[in-house]
Amino acid sequence: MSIRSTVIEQINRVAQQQSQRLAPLSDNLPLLEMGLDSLCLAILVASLDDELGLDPLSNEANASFPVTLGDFIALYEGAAAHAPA
Amino acid sequence: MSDPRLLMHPMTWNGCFGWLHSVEGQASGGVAAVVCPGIGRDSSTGYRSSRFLADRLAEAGYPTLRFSYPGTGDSRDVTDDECWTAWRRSVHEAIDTVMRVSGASQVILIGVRLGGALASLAASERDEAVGLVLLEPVLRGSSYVLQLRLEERMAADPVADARAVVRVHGLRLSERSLDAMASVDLRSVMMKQSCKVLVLSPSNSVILRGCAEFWRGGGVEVTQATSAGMEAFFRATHLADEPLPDPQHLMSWLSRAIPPCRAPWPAARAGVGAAMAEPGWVETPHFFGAHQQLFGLLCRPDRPVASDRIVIIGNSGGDPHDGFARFGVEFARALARRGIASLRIDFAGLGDSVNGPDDRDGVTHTFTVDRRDDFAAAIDLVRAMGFGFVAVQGLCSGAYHALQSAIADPRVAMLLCVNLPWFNLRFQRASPTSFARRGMAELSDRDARCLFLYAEGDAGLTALEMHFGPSGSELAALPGCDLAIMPELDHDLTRPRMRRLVIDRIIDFLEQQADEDRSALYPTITTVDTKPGRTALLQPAAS
Repeated sequence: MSIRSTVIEQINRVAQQQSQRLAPLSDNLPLLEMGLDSLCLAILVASLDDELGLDPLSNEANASFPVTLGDFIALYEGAAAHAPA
Repeated sequence: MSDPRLLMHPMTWNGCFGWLHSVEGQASGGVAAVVCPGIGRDSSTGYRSSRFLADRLAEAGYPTLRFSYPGTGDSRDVTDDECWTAWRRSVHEAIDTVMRVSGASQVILIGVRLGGALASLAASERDEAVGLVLLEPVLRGSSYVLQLRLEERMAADPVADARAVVRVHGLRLSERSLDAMASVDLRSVMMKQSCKVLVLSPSNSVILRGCAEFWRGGGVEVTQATSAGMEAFFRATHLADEPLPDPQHLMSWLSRAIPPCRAPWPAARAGVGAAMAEPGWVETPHFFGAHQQLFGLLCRPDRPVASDRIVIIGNSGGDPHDGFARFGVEFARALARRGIASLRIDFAGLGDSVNGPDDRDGVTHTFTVDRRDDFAAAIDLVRAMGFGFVAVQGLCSGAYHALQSAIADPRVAMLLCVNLPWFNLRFQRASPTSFARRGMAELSDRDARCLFLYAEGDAGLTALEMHFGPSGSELAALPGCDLAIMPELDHDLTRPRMRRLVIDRIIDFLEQQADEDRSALYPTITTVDTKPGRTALLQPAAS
């Protein structure tokens, strides 16, 4: 499964589990307008850490949180590309 | 229909508060269970489901202990540095306790989210652990710490507390605690071969596969299944009208893998206490209501105080009586330190209270179910203890129910509302005869004192201003009423500073009232019935 598919799958799973209603997902959608609150976003990042073994946000602890869903996916795709094989 | 002999027995040990679930008269105890909850939000969302699961385990022949870690729920407060080590130690103490009181020689550990990591660590160190059930477990502490840090970042408190690095959901975790937690990776924690493992997880992630392979490689029997049916453990607490978990898969696995082993109860069981005390406060559990179906924790000053005042604290939404981010506990213990008693209760069907003698599904609703009878039963209890001045308090839906109770019950002398969402469920236009107007006039006429606190921009201000004018000025002008709209707050009192502000404001209001009534002679309530007993929650009262 691609990084993009995994991210989308986890977004849907977290939204369902936390009874949150998602906006239609697109790359330009601002993360904070996606329908997930801060707790859900935090759970999402932790879930992706477990699913993909990737933790790009804490590697850049001082970087700002990605703004759009596209930025968010790109962050994980970039981390996967640079991850040790 | 539940087994009518099903018991919930409140217990304390080493600063932890918990519940033993068992079946009266059933000779069992060879294998007991311990439920290790999640922390923070996971603890609140899973609370009712853990109670329900513990009942099912007890019915199946496994006496079950569920509990709150130090610094969480109703357990003792801890320092920031203590958390992780105190939590780890508390799981071992819970194992020792359930084995001591049930006579069990073997134990099954059931861990939810971070409780899964804690249960796994304990199971790896205990020969008595014959079963480990992990429900959507945290497998790597670093992932969970990442989650906590992100939550902290996204809800950053501008007034930083330098010692506690992460302050979310009522938790205060130091860098030391976070580092210790982050160092846990269950892929390198080997279980004993005698411990059978069931993992219930929505997906078979890379990390979970790594754990399962590692454990199987060590000769451990590992079963994996989806967590379907257990969604209620993670559902937002205000959705209390949705079904409780269906633990059928877990129960089937247990009956096959670790069947219950009947053994007689030990005599030592009678000696277990349920009171807890720390400097400033003493807490004792109490059951009340027609069928003893309701539960509350009485929190009193640890010294005799000339006061007959008590605050009854209702649930906020579907959160258990410890409150969102543990507000109920912080509030109760702060009151006690200032010489004021409180009873933090669970409404029927929430937290540790059940709906009635034949309640099986545990379904309720946070708004539409009338809670006036629950408050009335709590008032009966505290009046019988000798408390004469009764205040009722609530946040959000709790404020709504406290308001209804105060209007309906003339024994309520004070109403303390935080972020009241509306005055009645049915929409009414503003008029002199609206429920809001009539109700508040009635409270004012009978000299009940009322405090309304709102966060700036709170949704409840719409109803307030509709009925009582801009900023609720006409309500604030009523004799005995005080109102404040506070820019520092949010709806849930998410941050510690918000909770402190609200607590201080309420205590000021209570003390101001006491000063105004200086001429009154208050009796000193020094003795109340603190016998915790073994209470048959589901047993109808004798007619």
